[in-house]
Amino acid sequence: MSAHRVAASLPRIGVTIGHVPQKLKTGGIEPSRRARLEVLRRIVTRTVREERVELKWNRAVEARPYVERLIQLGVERGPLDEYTAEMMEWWLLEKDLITKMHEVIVPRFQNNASPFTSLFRLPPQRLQQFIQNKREVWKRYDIGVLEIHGNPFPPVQEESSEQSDSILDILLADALRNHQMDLQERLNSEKSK
Amino acid sequence: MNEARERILINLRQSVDPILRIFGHRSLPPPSLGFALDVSGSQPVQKSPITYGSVREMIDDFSIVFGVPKYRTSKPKKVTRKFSFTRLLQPLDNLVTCPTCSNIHPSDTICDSCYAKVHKLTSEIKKKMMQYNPYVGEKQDKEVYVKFKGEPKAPAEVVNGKRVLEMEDERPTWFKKLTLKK
Repeated sequence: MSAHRVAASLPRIGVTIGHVPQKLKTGGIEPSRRARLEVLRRIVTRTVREERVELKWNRAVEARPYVERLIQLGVERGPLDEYTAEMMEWWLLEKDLITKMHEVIVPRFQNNASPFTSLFRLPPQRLQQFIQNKREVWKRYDIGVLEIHGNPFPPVQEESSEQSDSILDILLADALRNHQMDLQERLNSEKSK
Repeated sequence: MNEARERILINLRQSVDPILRIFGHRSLPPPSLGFALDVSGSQPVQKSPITYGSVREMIDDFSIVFGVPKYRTSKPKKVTRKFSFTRLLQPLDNLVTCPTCSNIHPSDTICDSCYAKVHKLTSEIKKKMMQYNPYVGEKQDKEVYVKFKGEPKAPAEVVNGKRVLEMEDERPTWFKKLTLKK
């Protein structure tokens, strides 16, 4: 009950929340609602530890709001809050990561608004699973790259250059610049008169 | 049909009997096999006994009693099996060209050939980043500053208490230097 009240008082997270609960199957865990959370908890822990992870697309989509909310709790309420401490305790399986969360990740976003994470999708990859009696078994994967902002890794996507490559845009920009220069000249000549 | 069956049964018995005689340790010929349809009485076929030369011949002769389709598979079933929507290849109509490397990829994804080099460098940095031992109380409690080979030592205000990871390779040209603030 209290969880609901606390969550309602926080601002919205800046990421999309999927409307269909994904089936997150994992070997060794019987599929159930609790198992879903176990799988998500592992993913959240791994994301906080490594800051950029490659996951199956549906898992990345499911886990992203949880990572986002956890960071937001740290940013909005700080480490001394009871509910935040409880959430950190449960979602981060490795306890040294709670320190990382409060000392490294949360201070990054003190003056920033959500989203604190990015999610990129890779084209479908066809990867070899194993070879059984000369039979090659391939499987198709949809992979998503989930990352926390401000990580030390090279950017996944190059920042798009401000200049357009289109010939029309270049000519138009030049024409506008010339027009500006003409106006400026006329203004100067009028002033000098 | 009946005649063919009789012929087969007789041929089978004639082929099997000598084998049974060898393995059965009996001096007398054994009694006939207990087939449901004993056709020993039919005289005209027994006049020309045929023994099978090879197993292949026997199988060919027996093919009429093996499991075979009872009914013809209808045309719609065949067509569905071969060309149903799961078997057809769909054209991709959302392909775009990467402005950096001209690789073609779906428009809702990032370019995978550009990502490959990012992935490689990321794993190298991550490997360095993960070199701490949580079991002796080491933690990732500092921000990370990546220093590539051949780069001058960063001033103290840039490093600012960060953990410095020293890479063995030089900084790739595509990975531009981050702005030196804070």
